[in-house]
Amino acid sequence: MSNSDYYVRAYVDGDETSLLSLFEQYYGSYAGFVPRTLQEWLWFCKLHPFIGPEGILVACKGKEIVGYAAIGIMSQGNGFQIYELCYDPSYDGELIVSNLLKRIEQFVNEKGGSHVNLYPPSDDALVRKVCDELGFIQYPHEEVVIAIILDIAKLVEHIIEGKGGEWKLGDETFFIRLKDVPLPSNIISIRWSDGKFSFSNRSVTDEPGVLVDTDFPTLSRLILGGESVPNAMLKSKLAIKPFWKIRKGIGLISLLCLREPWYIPRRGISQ
Amino acid sequence: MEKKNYRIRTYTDDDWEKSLDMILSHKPDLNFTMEYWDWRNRLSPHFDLSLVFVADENGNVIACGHAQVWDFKINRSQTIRGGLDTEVFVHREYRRRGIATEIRSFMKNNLRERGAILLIGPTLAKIYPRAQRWPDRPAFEIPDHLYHKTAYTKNLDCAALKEKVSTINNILNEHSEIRNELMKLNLTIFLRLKGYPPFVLEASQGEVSIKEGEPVEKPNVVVTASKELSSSTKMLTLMKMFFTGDVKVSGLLLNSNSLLEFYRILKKVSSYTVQKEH
Repeated sequence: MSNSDYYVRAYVDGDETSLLSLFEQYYGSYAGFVPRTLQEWLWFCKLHPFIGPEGILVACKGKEIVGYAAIGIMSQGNGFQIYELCYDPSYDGELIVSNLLKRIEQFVNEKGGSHVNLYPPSDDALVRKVCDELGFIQYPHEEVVIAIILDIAKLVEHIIEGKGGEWKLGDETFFIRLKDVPLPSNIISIRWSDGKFSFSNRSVTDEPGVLVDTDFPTLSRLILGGESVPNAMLKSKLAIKPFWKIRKGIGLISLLCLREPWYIPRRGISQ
Repeated sequence: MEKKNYRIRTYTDDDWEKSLDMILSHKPDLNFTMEYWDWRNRLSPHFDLSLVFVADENGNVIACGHAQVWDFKINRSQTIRGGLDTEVFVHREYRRRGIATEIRSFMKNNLRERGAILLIGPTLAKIYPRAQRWPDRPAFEIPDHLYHKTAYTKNLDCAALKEKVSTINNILNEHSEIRNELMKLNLTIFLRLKGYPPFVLEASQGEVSIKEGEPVEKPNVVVTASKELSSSTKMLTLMKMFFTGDVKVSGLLLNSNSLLEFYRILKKVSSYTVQKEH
């Protein structure tokens, strides 16, 4: 098949299952992927008043659907935004993305839009290369995604429940004491015994084997990756007692760290 | 202390239009419509009416906020329940009275009751340092999140540049001394800049003008940039780009003095623009 077999067409009813599987295939290659249901896909793309069926452009090779883009106006101004851009990497990704972006430019021109924005995952070198070739310019994005921890004890429990199997430091009882949190929720107690762990509050737990003394913001930063253990210790924001169990304390905090990328479902408004 | 005349309550269908009116009244530049609002909320698969709150003052909606519960992947193997997309709108006249904080507090309690462990939402980068110091619960940037890491844009017309040129001319009108300096110049520059369609910039008779497309007559200078070039590009960066071939300029030797003079005038004008913005 030649390059001329690749083309872009408008969305038609019935495409959604293939487009959803493309979405899963494309974003599934990134860490922290959350599968979308068909209902969610339809809500986000087809029912979106800024996108609608008209804003869904489908890239094909012959009869195969190999990519798609969802484009619509931005929540502010006269610009357009590419809300989603997916392609099947087993085909000629560069050609698919390039065809889609060229068609999008045409689409935006027809609609009288002044500019078009795209927010690809930063580690997709192919999309970045094509953007560069087609005269897109990179600009600093001023939005950050933040998290407020609503329940730190539950978060700690949740992480340990999932990652506790990685614990290799033997049986131990830990207290994480948060100086700035009012009693009685200022202590999170974790007990490891025979490869199993349990959580309890202080009143029913023995004296701790390891006491991790810190505060809420520091523990949050340690979990979310905004702070390292040595730095927190140097700043006197974290202390592990007794000092000969420091290795176990650091082991616990390392277990709590979420170093892998987090997946944030796409918002309705990105600007 | 001002008496509190409002109460926070959960949302009812009657509040639909009132909320939208309130939001539009202080954010008129948003492309919000009833249809959009409907999609965002009622049509969303994650919509939960009991997570929408309004501040009601004698039947008028003076603030509203909403959240949705989603299950997030926090790493490859774990999913966590969190609240997403919390937005609180407060009518301009009712701000700085703690209404947003009160609505947020209602929201957080309700999210906790639904098993949410995190509250996740985007915010402006400039607000982030402040968010870290929120007294009740500081907020932290989520590291390495998947989206919004790289942002690309391409201008399909010169509307943004035309606006800038119009500002320049306004400043020139206000400052006759700069205008007089520009009067001495007669320069046509054809620019092919990355991220913009080709355009012609002209300095003549003390005014700056911009025209989209190819020049009708032969320009004095032609600038082609294969890398991003903007008004904020520093002279040193510009020189580097020139020597690496990222910026090509023809007609430079014949017009170097005029170009430098034009650059100097534009810098002077831009300092007034910055002053104005401040």
